[in-house]
Amino acid sequence: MFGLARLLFFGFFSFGFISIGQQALAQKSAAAASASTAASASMDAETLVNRLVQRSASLRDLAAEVQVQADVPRVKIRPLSATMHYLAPDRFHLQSPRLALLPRQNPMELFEFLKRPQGYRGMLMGEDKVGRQSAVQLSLLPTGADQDWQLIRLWVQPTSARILQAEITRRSTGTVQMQYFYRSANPPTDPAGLDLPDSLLFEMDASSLKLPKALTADLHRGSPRDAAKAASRPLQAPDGKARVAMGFRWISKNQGAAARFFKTQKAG
Amino acid sequence: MSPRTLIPIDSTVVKAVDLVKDYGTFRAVDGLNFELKAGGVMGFLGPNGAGKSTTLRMLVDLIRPSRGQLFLFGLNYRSHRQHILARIGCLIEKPDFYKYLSALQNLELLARASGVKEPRLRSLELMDFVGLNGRENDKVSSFSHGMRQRLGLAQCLLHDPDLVVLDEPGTGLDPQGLVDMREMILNLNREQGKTILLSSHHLSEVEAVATDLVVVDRGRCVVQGSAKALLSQSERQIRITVGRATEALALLNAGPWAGGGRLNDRGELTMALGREEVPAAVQFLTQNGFEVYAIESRQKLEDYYMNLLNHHQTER
Amino acid sequence: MWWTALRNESVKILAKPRSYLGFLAITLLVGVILLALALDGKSYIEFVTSSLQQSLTVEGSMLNGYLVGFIVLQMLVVHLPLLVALVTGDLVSGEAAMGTLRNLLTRPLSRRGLLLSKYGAAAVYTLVLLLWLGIMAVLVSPWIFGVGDLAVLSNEGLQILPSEEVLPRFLQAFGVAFAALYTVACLSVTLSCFADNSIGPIVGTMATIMVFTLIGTLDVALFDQVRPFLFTTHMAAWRSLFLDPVPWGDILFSMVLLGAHWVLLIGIGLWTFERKDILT
Repeated sequence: MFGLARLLFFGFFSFGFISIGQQALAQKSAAAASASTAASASMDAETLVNRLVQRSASLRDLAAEVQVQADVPRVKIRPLSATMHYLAPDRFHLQSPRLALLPRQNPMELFEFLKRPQGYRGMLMGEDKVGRQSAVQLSLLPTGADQDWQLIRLWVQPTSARILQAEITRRSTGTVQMQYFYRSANPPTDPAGLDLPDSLLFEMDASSLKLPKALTADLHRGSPRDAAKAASRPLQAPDGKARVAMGFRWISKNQGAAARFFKTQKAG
Repeated sequence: MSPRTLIPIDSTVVKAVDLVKDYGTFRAVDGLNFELKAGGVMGFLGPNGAGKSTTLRMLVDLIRPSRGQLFLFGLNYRSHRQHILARIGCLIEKPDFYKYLSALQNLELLARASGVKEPRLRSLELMDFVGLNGRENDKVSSFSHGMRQRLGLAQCLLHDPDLVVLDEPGTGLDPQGLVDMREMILNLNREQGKTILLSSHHLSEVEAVATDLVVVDRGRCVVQGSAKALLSQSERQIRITVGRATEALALLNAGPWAGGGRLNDRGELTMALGREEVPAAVQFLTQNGFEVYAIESRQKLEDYYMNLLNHHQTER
Repeated sequence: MWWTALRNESVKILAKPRSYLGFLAITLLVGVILLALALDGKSYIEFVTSSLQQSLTVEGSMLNGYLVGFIVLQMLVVHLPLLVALVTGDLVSGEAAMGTLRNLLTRPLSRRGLLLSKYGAAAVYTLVLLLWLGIMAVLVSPWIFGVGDLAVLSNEGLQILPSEEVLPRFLQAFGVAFAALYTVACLSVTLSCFADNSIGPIVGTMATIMVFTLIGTLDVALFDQVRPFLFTTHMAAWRSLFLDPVPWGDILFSMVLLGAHWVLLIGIGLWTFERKDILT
């Protein structure tokens, strides 16, 4: 499932900062450098969760130049460059003169979720491959009954605790799949060091998306039948998916840039 | 070649040949023939529905004839429309203007449409001529009918036409207005040398200015000729104001003057009599107990016109 | 001489109180739309994008001056034909009813020239009315709501156009809208040549638009052959300028078809007017 999307994505999108092809190569070498499957076998869910929590814990304040490209069926929007600000726990802003189509969840939401291990329970689901990389699949089950989060599935490189892929199911937004791409083959050696992706690919189901009929009917183009058909057609790609790719060039990590930005914004 | 040099001054200005106008099955003008020479004032007369307005509209190309030919200054509209219209000024039916514009703006607009070089100057000049100076900037909507008639006359003179066609220019004018209008027409003809075609129900006004007459009835020309000749060759009419006129007429018709008298629209007795017959007729009436209040012995256009139409309608 | 006649016609239109009804109506309608969008525009945007926003979010303000301008145009282009016909339908018949046509037609100006000047004046009026709408839509709206990318809904879906492309597209769209509206103006002037009162041509124009629009919207196979050739089908062709890529072929077809309507309608008008007996 992810493989097909990854192929399509590689074929069609490339970013100014790091091309998906480069990232694939980086991940390929990362795979070679990664620990053997034997290492993952000896790891339990708690350890892996702890390592993920350790990596996420330091995430407070981020600023990045970001390139966004959305491939949403029946939506035409051009790629755009913007500046992203993220201030933990949930302040996210894309500073751009242009309109951008983004996933409903902000790209750092998963890290924020991981920071609070008391809110979920981890379960190792076995080994898997993401592209050519070995990974362990970790399911996180939220423990609070009223939580929006329903299930998080992570594909994690076992030795480095680098997230390669995620699938988040939420009551409000349904299931969103995310693929993480990294420029460097290896994550920071410091276990508490932030390991942020250089690109993110969000993929979500778009088969139920529709636009209001009355607003879409262009009667001057084609017959009313054509217009009605077109207007009632769901926003459906061949595989029924909407994709949003984000490429990052990190400007500041935990240096207070986002805090300053949000402060200025509030003051303004 | 300038349009004004196309035709010599004393030639025929208007010539209608077998002019016919049909509206569906109704024939408004039925083979009309007449001529108007340059420099004349032609009275164009006829009862309502005689085809006068239709004819005048054909003269200024508002209506196209169904058949027949119409020559103005020796030219026809088919090939020389603009040349002809450059030499005609007209006031057809009633003076209509843009009510939301001032009198001066109306004239300026029409002057520009007529190709007048200095429209404002010419408009002011004509407003003065028709006695509307001081009212230049007033909206036409505030004008009385008489003022609009004057403005109507001004608009038809904007481009200094050779032929002026006036359809009922005296309608709605008060007595002073009628006198003024008559003087302006005479001025245009005598001082400015314009040929005038005048249609009016005010027969006394026509009589005062017309040099030629055309009388039409039911779309046909009843008579045409010089006003002077037409009025002099007809029998002299004696107008007698008498008490009990209807009874007097019956008595006369039964007696020696049978068929010679009639009642005009004011209830007066009119009779075609020779000068020597007048005393006998008066005596006859007084002897039979009728009171004679006045005797007027003058041939008037009105009498001529009424007699003519009576005869024409009886013949038909 | 034609220019003089055009000047005269323009002077008359300028002086006529009814000429300003259109401008007043546009100002009021735009005011109402702007107020409504300022108060409740966000709900409108949410309604339009509600399905999309289940899993995606739009960063930045969709409700900007360009979108408001687009909405204004979309809403008012429907009403503009009436406002255009109100003045242009009166150009010949109104003068006939007033009796002033007699004065004009007895001037040394060809009937063809006079009528063409009226078609010219109709073009000027339509253009000025559209310009006013343009000022209200593309200048006033951005002044109030700011500028940004334009999100447009069409049969193809939602298109988001970069703000720097929007103004040129608006300009071109106004050109196409003018072609469509001028067809309405030509129709009403032509109908005006047949009538001696101004109500007839105005009602006639609106009735024609209604009938053609009905034919255009009825889902009857019989009308499929006719539909592309009705001018009402191309009244909204200006919207195509906001598609990406712009369907230039479709727009060219619309322009050619509308141009053909002009020629046909002006031709009919001239033929009629040249032969018209002025009886009023």
